[in-house]
Amino acid sequence: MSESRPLLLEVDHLCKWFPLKRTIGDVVQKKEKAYLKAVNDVSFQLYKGENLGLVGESGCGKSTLARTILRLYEPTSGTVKLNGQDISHMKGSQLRKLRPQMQMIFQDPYSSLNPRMSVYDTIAEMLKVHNMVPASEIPARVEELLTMSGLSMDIAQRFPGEFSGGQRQRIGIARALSLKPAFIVADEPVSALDVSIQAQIINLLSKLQQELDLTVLFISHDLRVVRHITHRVMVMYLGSNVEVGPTEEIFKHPAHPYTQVLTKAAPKLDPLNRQRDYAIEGEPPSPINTPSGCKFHPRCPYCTDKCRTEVPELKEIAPGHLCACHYPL
Amino acid sequence: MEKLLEVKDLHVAFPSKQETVHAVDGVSFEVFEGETFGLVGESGCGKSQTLRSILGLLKQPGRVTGGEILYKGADITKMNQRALQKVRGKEISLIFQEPMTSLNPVLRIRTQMYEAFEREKLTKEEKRQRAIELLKLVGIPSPETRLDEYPHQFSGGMRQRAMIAIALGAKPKLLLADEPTTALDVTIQDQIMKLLNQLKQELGMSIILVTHDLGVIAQMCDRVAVMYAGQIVEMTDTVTLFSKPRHPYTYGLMGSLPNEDTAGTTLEAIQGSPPNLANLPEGCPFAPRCKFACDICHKERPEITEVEPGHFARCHRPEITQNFQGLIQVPGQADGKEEASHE
Repeated sequence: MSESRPLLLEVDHLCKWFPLKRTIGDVVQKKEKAYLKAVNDVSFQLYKGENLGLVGESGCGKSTLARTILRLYEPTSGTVKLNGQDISHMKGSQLRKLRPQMQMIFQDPYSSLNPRMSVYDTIAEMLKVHNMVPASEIPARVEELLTMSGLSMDIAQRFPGEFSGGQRQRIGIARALSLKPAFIVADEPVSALDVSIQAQIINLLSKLQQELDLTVLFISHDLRVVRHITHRVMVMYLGSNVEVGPTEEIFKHPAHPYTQVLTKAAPKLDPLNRQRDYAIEGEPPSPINTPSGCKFHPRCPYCTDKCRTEVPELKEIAPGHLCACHYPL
Repeated sequence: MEKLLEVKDLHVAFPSKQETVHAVDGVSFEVFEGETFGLVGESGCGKSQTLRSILGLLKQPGRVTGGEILYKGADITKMNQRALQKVRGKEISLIFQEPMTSLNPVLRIRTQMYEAFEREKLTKEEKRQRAIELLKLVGIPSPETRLDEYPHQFSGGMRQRAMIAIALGAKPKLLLADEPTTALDVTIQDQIMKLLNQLKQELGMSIILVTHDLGVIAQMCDRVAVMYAGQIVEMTDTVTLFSKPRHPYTYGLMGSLPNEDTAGTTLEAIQGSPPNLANLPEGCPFAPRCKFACDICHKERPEITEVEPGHFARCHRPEITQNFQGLIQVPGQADGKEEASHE
């Protein structure tokens, strides 16, 4: 994606550590405080109108990163700048004013809608709370939003329980768009849906993104979907980003061994090609006691002594393609 | 190859006060020795209920309302609990989707493993040895210590491995796997698929694999049945299914998968959503979503027919489906027909 586009979001050395419970024994023995480093030193930029994919195994900190950026969590250190304005330590009414600019589409369309609120109320509430439009114009705006998401006003008085997963996800999308946000986080928006419905929602998301010039952070563990919909991809492993680059380049020429594993692990849709040529052993280590040096080294087939001791920096290996590895492929 | 399991015209219904849901509506298929048979479809298509009824494990109020399930010639649906107990585990075994919830959290792994070979009257030491062997087989490191741990001390992939080990405990001839990799990360899914393929080879088992993921089907199955609204709509070997699908639903599913070449394009999504099983349309259940549907499709239910030797499809319009181009090209097969239906 072009660097010429204006910068929308700038994340700089962002960390989110969760303190772990200390037992009385730990306090008596004066052990150091332990943290779960869910997000550790992540930096990246998001340009206006682009769709950045965020991929990684479960527990690697994808959702925590997104929630910290949206200020649903207080960052431990580092900064988040939206349109040049530092939002990482905003509080109260300032933060409230900021909310309409950043919205989220959730993974689970079953638990993210209030079962006792009609579709109309769900969307109208957003408009009322943030005073987006005068009260008289609310019905028109709700209708516009529902139409945009492929629904009709006929369903406005019905309740979430009456809808299928795909329709609920459309309601969730209409709600996220209601405040005309500049930036949307889509946290696994299609993972809970069936294949045929998934395609409908993917089409809807990419259409809306183009029409409204939305900036999206698209979190997914499904690499086929990420490859289809995003412009750039960021790969996370154990709380840090290990590679960022244009989507096609990441998939065709992954530079980090972990990215290579991820891109090859997805089962191929070809029964004639069943070679599992490159599988990875083991599972991600616990984020509480992370390995020394490069965090990926215990699972990496190319690991050397340097990897065990030195932490690799995120370096540019090609224009716009960054990788944190001592020996990029 | 010997026929191991034969399901004939199976019907499963979930009656309730208001309505009866026909979750499985006339499903027939065969599983041969040493093969992996896949059942693929979307949620609510009846694939899991078909699988569960094989072991008589339908959840209340579901019950088999018609048809036969013949395992080595004996009808499972007619068996009493005592006879079923002899089939379960020893002959046919099951692994579930969620390794998080299907292990008992308050029992040690060893206790849960020993249950599988309870009936063999082994000594304590023999049991332990057997359990260690099984854990080794499924690739759990340091099984001697792992055996004494509880499920919460295992990660997701390890729990799935432990569950596979339990399922293999009594050396079953047939393993039923209900979405065995769905809850796992791709890297772990890759490992589990590899493990299942390898175990099948080593132990000569047959596997029935239920999944919604065509990728898993492509990587693991010899033959596949595609299910929609409680019926099998297409059944053939995996390569043929991926190269020449003969049902608009299968074709639609393949079109709605994003792949390397679709970036920036609009996916050919199937419109609408699956029908309500309690209230199916009069004609073909897929007709309301099918872009090739014509008058007869809305009026009459299609029968399953053999469109080519070994290739079954349930569609009124074979003249249209024969032009479908699948996701792969089989080398060596002359490609006489044009890619007519690919817009």
